[in-house]
Amino acid sequence: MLKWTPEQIAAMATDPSAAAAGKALATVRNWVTLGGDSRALWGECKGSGAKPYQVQIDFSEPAFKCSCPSRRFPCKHALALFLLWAQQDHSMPDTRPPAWVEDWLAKRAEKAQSKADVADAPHADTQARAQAAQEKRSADREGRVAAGIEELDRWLKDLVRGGLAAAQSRPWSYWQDMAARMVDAQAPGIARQLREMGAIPASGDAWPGRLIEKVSRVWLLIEAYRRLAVLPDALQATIRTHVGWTTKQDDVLHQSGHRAEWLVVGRRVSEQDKLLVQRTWLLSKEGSALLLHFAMKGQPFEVSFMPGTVLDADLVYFPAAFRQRAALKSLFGESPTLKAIPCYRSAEPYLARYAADLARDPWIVSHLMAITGVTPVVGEPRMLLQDADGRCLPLSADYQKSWQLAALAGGEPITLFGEWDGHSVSPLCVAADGRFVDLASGRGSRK
Amino acid sequence: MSTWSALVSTALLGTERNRPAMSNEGSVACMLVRQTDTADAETTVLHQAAILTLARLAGFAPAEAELAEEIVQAEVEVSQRCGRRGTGILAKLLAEQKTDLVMEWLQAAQRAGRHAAPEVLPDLLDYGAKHAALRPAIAAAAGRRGVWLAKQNPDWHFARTDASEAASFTDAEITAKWETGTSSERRVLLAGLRTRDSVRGLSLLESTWQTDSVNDRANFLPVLRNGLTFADEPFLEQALNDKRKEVRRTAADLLALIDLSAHCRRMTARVAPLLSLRRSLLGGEIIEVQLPTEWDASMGRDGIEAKPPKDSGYGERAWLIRQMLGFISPSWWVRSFHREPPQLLKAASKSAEWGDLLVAAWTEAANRFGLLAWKEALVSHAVDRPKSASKYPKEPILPALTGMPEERLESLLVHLFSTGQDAHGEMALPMLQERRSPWSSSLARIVVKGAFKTLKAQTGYTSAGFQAKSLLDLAALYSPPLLAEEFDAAWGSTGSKSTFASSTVDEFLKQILFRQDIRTAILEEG
Repeated sequence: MLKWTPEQIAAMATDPSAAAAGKALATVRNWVTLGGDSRALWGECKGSGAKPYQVQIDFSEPAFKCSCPSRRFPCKHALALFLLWAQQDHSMPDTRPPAWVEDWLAKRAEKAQSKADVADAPHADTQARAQAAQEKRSADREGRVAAGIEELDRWLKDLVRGGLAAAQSRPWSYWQDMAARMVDAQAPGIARQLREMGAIPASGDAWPGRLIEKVSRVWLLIEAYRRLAVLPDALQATIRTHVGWTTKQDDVLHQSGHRAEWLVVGRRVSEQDKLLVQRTWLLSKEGSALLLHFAMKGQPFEVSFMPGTVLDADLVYFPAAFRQRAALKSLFGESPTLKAIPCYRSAEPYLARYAADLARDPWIVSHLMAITGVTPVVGEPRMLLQDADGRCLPLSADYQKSWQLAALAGGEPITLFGEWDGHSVSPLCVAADGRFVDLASGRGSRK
Repeated sequence: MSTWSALVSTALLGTERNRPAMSNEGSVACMLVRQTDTADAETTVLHQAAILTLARLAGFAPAEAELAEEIVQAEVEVSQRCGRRGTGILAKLLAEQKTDLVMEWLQAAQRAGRHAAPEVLPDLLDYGAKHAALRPAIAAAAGRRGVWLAKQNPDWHFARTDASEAASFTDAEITAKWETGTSSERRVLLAGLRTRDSVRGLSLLESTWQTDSVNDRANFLPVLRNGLTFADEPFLEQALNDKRKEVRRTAADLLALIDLSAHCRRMTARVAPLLSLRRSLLGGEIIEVQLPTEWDASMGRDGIEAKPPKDSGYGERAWLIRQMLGFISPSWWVRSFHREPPQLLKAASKSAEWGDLLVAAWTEAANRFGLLAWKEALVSHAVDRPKSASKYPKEPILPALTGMPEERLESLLVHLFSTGQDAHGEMALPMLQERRSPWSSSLARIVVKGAFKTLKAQTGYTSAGFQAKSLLDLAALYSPPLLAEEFDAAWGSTGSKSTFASSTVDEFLKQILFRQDIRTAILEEG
């Protein structure tokens, strides 16, 4: 289910006066009935007449319907209902939809189906021309990236020759300028890693180790890119992705997917290059998958899934040596139950899995850790997760909700889903106390 | 030095000054590292770093838990956890720092027999660390899990069930804890001990008094209020000579509370000759006041200051008698003049010159000694008096209402509103503001309907309008939420053209409905 801010909702109004009218009606006392579920919201709003207006919202687009005579679309009643829901922390009394809502939803689903049946095939000729242009652009880019990488290679060697200690006294622009050159060379993935490097010298204890780690992985990427032609296809795709090539989601969706019951085990929103990035981790019996969604600041994501939801969905992995990122091909619905959560029972087998995946993709930044039987233990300087074998995994220094985590566990073992970066875990969600609780904290800001 | 740390130090210093070091560690990664031999030192370092980085990531070995530290588990909750929506509401109230509504939530949870969900406890306990007034309610709503958390974080110690824990300590443990604990731990320990065994508490305090810091002394002394008896007098009498003013002042405050202490006798000896009850020439009785001559060091030792506070309205000698009277139990006057509090207040107010001074001093004394009969008499006195400003702007017009029977206060307030002598709530407002507890339906109705009437009659922004708004702000917090519909109907039938009035009422109705919703949400499952 998507989260909407009141600003986003107000922005859907046809004009500011409609938004203001909606806002005025967005208090519980203007409504005779209110309800909602994961698909839709509905309510009856007191109007000037004897019969209240029947207002309904289908989340899928979102689509609105109201029995009032207003020509504005969405009308003030629909806006009010939407705002009310957003103000109440996206929750409504959970009830069964009344008949008038069921009818409308059923009709909409029918229409959507018939629309999807009409497949639109693009013209063959235009397709061929577009492909030629695409190939030309791609060849140009290869050249620019190759040149950029040679420049980066010299820059990294200079860095190591002069010593990292000297790099500490360099201004922020030292890293930023090189990152900007990598953007020009159309290698935005490398640019991002350079910007992250720039923050390390000021990140406290043991920074030289963290910096050399990052530097050496970028250097490894350079080496790999130089030998791209002789490497297997899947590894080529991995390397290109880390350099910054993107694969269009539509290209991936042509392939056949994996239909399974996917449990949403975590959702984290972070800011990257002025965009909001939503990472949704899914888990099924076959393995894990990561969905990425992007949005401009202040805009909603195309879809958001609440942790704990089980999706009956068809996913397609993006090509890679270690397949992690996936695209959602079709969503058949939300399944009510998942019989067992596929989890590791202790740290050791999980870490073996991580090492095996690292062998396929040595540039993995975060890896889904799904582990059961861990107990959060208050420790100095950070909280630890103690597994069933009595081994301890440290929590990330950036993680801000360690006390919430400890509170949920109360000294008992829990099931935890988090992102492992090779040194520490940043929890996303836990299954404890008989329920799923979202415990992701924003990344990057220290407490 | 490990291969990795050798490599990090080479990279740190730079290959210009430092050649890559080789080690003889036997791991596969280190063997690979030794095989790297490239044209230049930089490439060698980068190459080795890449190998070791991956070897370190892939070979992460989690530390073994220290066996000594056994994990303590939280006790099983005895009450039911409140639902997802209720938890969400509490989290939001905490984030927005709506203290009154947080209190409302906690009380509603307690009435419903529910505890707060664990994920909201850290924020809730943090809130208690900042807002001492909420602590008992927070400790109650935090459940067993809250106690478990509080034991692990010193900031949250207020939510521990310390009293019961300290009760099980042996004498030697108490002494050890007193001698080694932090300042706040010692204060908690002393407070607990004083309620159970006040003599032992005193001897504990005395045992380190000479060596404790001035801050600790000032911090610990007020705790003696728990279980205060005449046995504490010699120690407190000594403390009147302390270097620090706060300590001397606390000692004087405590001594005043000990019946027949030397301090009390000195104080009454000073004041007794200065007050007299005479028959007034105009009929009735009047209390006449003579002023003390001048301040001396013995008064200073007993906690009486020489100079009145700035802008208090008191002259120097009037300020002396005002302070002395504040230290003496008002029942002393009942005994010495054989009159009841209302009669004494009546006689005091006959004195145009000193009436306000006597009322102010007795108000302070009634608060200090917690005398309900006096408080009631003072409230009635304030309510019945024609509106006239006291000569002393800094003195409160009412005593502290804590401990006063709710019904009595309610009937006073209802009387105030219904007689119309306090039409806009000048007197009722401070009473209601201080009271901070739920109102009965009849009080809520009379206040809200009065405020509605005022608002309907007002156009634009008037002081009466703002008084009505202040009353509604309180009504929104303390009226029974079940009256929401009745209020909605009462306002809705006529309404008002003024935007100030309608937005004030909208806000009021929204708030009171929200409180109803808190109650519903807490009871939801899930």
